[in-house]
Amino acid sequence: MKNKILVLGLVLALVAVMVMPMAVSAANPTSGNTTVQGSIGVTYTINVPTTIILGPFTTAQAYAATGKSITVSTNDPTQTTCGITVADSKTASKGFLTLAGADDAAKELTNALTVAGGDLGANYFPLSTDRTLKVSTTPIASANIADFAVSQTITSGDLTKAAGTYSLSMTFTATFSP
Amino acid sequence: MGLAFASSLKLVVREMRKLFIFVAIGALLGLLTTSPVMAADPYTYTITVPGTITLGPFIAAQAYSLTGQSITVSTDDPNQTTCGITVSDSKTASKGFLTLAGEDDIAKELTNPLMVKGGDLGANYQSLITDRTLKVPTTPKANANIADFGVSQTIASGDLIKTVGTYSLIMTFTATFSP
Repeated sequence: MKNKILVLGLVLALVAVMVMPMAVSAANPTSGNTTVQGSIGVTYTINVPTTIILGPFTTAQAYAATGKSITVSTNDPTQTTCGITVADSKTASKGFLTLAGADDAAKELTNALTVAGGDLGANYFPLSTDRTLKVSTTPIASANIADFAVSQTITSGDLTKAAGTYSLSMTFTATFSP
Repeated sequence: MGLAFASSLKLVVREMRKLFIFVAIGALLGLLTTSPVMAADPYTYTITVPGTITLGPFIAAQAYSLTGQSITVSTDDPNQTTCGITVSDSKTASKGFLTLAGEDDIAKELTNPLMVKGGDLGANYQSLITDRTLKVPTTPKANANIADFGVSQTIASGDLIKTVGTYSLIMTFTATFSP
């Protein structure tokens, strides 16, 4: 009886040896993942210099900053062209740096800020009116500007004005169109 | 004479039993020593699938599709002759639906489920709300390769006013090889 149990156990072990490789080789699934994605809501972006510092104004001369970048982009496939304008959105003393940047005609610099670059080319134009830096351009990426510049001419009279930081906020607008 | 034969037969049976026990003990030792080797399958099984499929951006109520995607399988295991492929969205809820940031967020899922086609599904799109068999086990396994896998997402007008962001899901493709 003891022998029979031993034989039975060993036979089962033998069967296991024969069957196990098949079981291992049959269970070998392999897998891979793919992400499917799509976004709702198109985006339009424009990147501009946040702050441009000129001076400090200590002498009567022109102070300039050049080589500034303006880039635009969108994921909207229906848009093919883009134009860029720049403006000083103040209602009075438009284009003039004023004390603390407020619309304070009494404390503005003598000359208007001038801008250059993009379609304006190398010549500076006063920002007393809106300026077109890029007319509608295809492809959109071509509207990017790498040579935007500002220049502020300081007169001797400015040097006697109220001490403080004179500034203005330029607003760049990118207009996309199909 | 008969008695002698019976005695000899008994002796043979006894010796056979010893031999059998010897073989079985050898097999048992083999099992004990080879099991770790078998657990580490020396063969490789691979499936190649698209990494990311980008549809849209979704800006209009229409179907956004991408077709002609390839899925290939292979192994160097000579014992495997057939291969089948399935595709599934492994989420437990909102199965088959693109959700914001790809998470299982029912509140921010698209209106319609993602549809898939290709392989044995043919040219008709089927929703991924349930696992789909792209290939029944096929011989030779190389025939399980698929070149016409496609996905399609129908955007409803209601989707366009949903939370802005990237809606996604992760498809899992599984290849099962067999001898």
